[in-house]
Amino acid sequence: MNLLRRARKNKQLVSGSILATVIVLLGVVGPWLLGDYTDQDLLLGHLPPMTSGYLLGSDALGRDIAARVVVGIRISLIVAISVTVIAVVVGTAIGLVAGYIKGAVDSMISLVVDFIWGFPLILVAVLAAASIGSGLLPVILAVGLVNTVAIARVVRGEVLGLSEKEFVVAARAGGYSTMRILTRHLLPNIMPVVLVLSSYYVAVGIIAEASLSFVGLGAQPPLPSLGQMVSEGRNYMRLNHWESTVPGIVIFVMVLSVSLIGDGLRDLLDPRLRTAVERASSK
Amino acid sequence: MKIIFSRIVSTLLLLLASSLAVFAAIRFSGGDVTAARMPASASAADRELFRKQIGLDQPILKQYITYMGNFVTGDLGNSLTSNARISSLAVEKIRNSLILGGSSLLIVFLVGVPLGMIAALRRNTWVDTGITSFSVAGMAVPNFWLALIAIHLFASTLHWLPSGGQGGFKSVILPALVLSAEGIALTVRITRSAMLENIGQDFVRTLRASGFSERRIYFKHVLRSSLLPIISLAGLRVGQVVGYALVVETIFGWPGVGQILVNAVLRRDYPVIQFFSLLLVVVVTLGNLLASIGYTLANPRLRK
Amino acid sequence: MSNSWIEDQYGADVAQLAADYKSKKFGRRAFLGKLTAVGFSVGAAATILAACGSNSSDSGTADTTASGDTVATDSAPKVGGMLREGYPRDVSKHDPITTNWYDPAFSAIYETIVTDGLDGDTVPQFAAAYEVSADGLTYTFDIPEGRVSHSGGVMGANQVAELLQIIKDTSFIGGVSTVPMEGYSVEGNKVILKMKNAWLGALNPHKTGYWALANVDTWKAAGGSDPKSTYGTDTADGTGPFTHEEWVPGSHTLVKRWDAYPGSNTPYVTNTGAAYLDAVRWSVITEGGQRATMLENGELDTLLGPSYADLERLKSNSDLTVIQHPEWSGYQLSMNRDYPEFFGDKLTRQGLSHALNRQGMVDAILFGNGDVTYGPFPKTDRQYEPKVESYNQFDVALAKSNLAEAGWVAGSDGVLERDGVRFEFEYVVEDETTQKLVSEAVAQQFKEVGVIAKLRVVDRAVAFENQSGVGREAAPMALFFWLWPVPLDILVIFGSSETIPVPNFSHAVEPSIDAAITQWRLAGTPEAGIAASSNFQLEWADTLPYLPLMNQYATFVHHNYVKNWAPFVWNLYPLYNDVWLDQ
Repeated sequence: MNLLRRARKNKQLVSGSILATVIVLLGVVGPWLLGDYTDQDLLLGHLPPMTSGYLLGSDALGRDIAARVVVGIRISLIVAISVTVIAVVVGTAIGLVAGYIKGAVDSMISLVVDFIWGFPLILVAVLAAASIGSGLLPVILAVGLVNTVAIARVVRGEVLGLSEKEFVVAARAGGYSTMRILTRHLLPNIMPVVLVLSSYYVAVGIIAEASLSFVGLGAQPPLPSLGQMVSEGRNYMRLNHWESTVPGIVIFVMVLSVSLIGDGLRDLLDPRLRTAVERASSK
Repeated sequence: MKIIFSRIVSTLLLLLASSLAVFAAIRFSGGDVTAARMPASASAADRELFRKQIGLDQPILKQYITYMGNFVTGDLGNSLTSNARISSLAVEKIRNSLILGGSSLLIVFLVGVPLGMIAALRRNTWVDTGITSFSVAGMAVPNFWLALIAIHLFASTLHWLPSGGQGGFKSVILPALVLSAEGIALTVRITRSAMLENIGQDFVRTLRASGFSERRIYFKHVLRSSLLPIISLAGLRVGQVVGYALVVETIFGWPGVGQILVNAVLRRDYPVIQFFSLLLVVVVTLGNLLASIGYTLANPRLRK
Repeated sequence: MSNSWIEDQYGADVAQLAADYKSKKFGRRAFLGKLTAVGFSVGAAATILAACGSNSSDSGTADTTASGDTVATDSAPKVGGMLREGYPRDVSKHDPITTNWYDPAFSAIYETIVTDGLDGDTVPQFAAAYEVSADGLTYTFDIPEGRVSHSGGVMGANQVAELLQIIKDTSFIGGVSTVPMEGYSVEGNKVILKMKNAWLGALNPHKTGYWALANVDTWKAAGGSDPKSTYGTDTADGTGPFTHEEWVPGSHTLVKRWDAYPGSNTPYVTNTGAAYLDAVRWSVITEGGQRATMLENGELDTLLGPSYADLERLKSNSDLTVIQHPEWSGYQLSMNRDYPEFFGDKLTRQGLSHALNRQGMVDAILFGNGDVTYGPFPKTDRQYEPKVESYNQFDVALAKSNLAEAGWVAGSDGVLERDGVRFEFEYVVEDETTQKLVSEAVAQQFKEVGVIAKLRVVDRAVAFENQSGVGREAAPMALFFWLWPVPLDILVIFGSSETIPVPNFSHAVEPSIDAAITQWRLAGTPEAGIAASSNFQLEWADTLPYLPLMNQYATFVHHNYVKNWAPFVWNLYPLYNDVWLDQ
């Protein structure tokens, strides 16, 4: 109850949640309301917003940008959420095991993690797209893989620090099983970090999908992705910049909402940070 | 020191594995290299002959061994599409990318760390709110879109800066700033929270009780303890800067490693992809290694 | 060529002038003079002249007096300065024999043995003169005495003949139009080309960069056609007014004046000595909008191919001049005949063709800067057969009735079916802005008549692999863009049954098209050539080995202080020897 009350007072969390709700609603309901995003009218291209019944204007082929944007939101959400679920679940498990068990297991895991960590995300995605063809699948795989590794690294670091703390040492001395220590003692302690991280990685997922679609490696036409729409509008910046700016703003707002939620969660859940913050401000 | 040594050895092994992984990924990726080398009107026989001339008819493993053999002796091969020697291409492209990536990293830390410190020291004032909001926005803005907006505003509309290409100091400003935006935001964030965390630590209270000045406490002790996450971030930033440089270099027509790599992938220019992706992996892995060494040195407990 | 096109492009006054010229109220030279007097550049004037169609039958014969005297400059040329061009593609290596494309730098570094005259005829360039025997079987080129290449190497008849023979035998492009050629030989200072049969097109390839005169000794010493040759990358050795200095893929090419250049033999080049410019630098800037911005900001002096969306703005800028010429190019859609269930019958192909709103795509995607094509050729070609326009017109009702007549019936979801086969297939397109837009528009238009073309956008290498496969390994449908100075030379091989699967991507065997190709390769007189070409176009428009879509105009923009930078319709690359900067 206390937590909920504090949550309601957290401006970032509240504003982020409101934005996110609107976005999710648009992505879920929008495509039904706004009609066929492939309908074209070659005579009505490059219209600015609020003309001829086009709420957000039209693109080069006279397609409704609003109808395409909501589908783009849906694609973006699906990719970002699935990527994050994979990354958080797998990454946390790997990080926990590597950080706590140490020794040979840790060395092996760390080696693989470092191996993948050596590849920049975009390079992995480019190679994945080259191997299995452009589309959403290579994007999900590449971003998922890299984010898994990223989370595993952070979690491992956290666990390394925690495992020397008194409560873990005590639990170990008390004869608790490794599994129990991992799930009951360590996991709850790293959960705040993981939650904050996962909001960050939803944001990374949204931006990565958009970037890859921007360079032509993501969603395939006629399926509109926000990044692809920005890219298509690029040629017409001087003519009707809305074709690029509208999907760009949508990406920005999506990422912003997730970041705000992440920041709010961090302040709310991470006791270390919160006390630190309070002490600092109470001096 | 033993930890550091073993890190270096394992890094070398990782690079070897990476070279094999990249080689395999590219060779299995399909796509016809002759498409970029020859006009559409070239006959099937001409195409077959060309594949033979460059050794693409050999088994993949043999191609890899031949490649690595040449590599070790300093022969990086030629671009299949332009026929340029990769060793001479590399000098130019690496120089350009270093200029861009270096400027960006510099901007990130010169701007990000001080802003983060100020925000932490002025916690809960309008300064903090301003810096934090800027950092939240900076994290959220996709850099390819920022690039388009920056070009539209500063090049097309205001005519202040070049919109692309590479010609002198002015042409590096826009791409470097765009490439830095997210990094600055992230650095501000990490610096601020690391500072705040340390401010609350016991050693600060002890120092304060011992009569050290606030300034000395913040700039000497708190900042040094906060360096850990910032150093980790530096390593992480190398990977991200390198990755996003691929996109930003392409948008600004900056003739660096990212641009040539993207073009090479589109044309299946195997030797070029091979060399430059490996180069990126080396850079990122070295960045990680440095971060790890820095982490070890800065953290006395791990030094043993 | 229709007057309405001229009116659209250049306005009513010019159309009137053109009509007067056509009705022979005055001659060609007077016409050109009048056009330049009303403010057209020499290049633009030549385009209009070409569009009017040549009244004389001068093609294939030497016309060394052609219109050279019409080049007029308002003041004395200034020497010095570097010309900065914005170039839309990555730079191609400067080796005519193994390159897959030739950049404008070729026309600075190299000369060709003959080149295009201002009104589409043939004039000497490296050769001092040339002649064709009465039976059309022998071409004789006079090679000037004492010429050397940039390296100082001898460029005599022996060297030229050896190089041309290598190009004919080994160049990737060679196979396109060398079928009727026997080979080259030397007599004194003359290079002789012997033909198997008389053929009008023999000189066409000689005018292109693929047949540029490189010093054959340098070329061989650098490695010849070996993939590791350093020719065209580290060195290039021609006889043109500029020397190869820097060639950096993805970035730029730089050439510098060759002070020892003795002057051009090409009649319309006024500069009889070394070039005025110190250097020319081509910067690779692949984004159209960016090139335009850089030109407006003064970072470039000239550019090729702005984004069509920016054209109106550039045209209204009084510091800039926009030059537009139709180009010999086109977008064509392949339909793989190894998918006979879809594309086996002509009626279905015609039905698909009638579903396409070509004019709509030209207007929406090219902003009107192109022409629809109903047959293989662009409208601007002098051999264009207007009768192709009776085929392939946009008519959705006709499209539907053709498809119904071919046995296609709409299923429950509106998608056509025949013999249990759904009309749904994969359509491969290269990841390139215009091609993607064209393909999205086409797919949506097919959808209107119940046909589903599933787009697969892939990078260039994969697109080509998918186009060029054998049998059903090739994609059912793919879009490609061709570009070549003479459409017949290139399009015959896209339609010939001898070139399946590459580059006959449709795997189409049309005996009538094969017959037209043979007829063309045997054409020894202009009449026979025109008849063959007309036949070829009509058969293409009717049997539809590919679906023709449209061509686009080549567009050039330069600052007004750049003088004599005049790409013209027959040669879209300016001759840099005459260019100077008025600064």
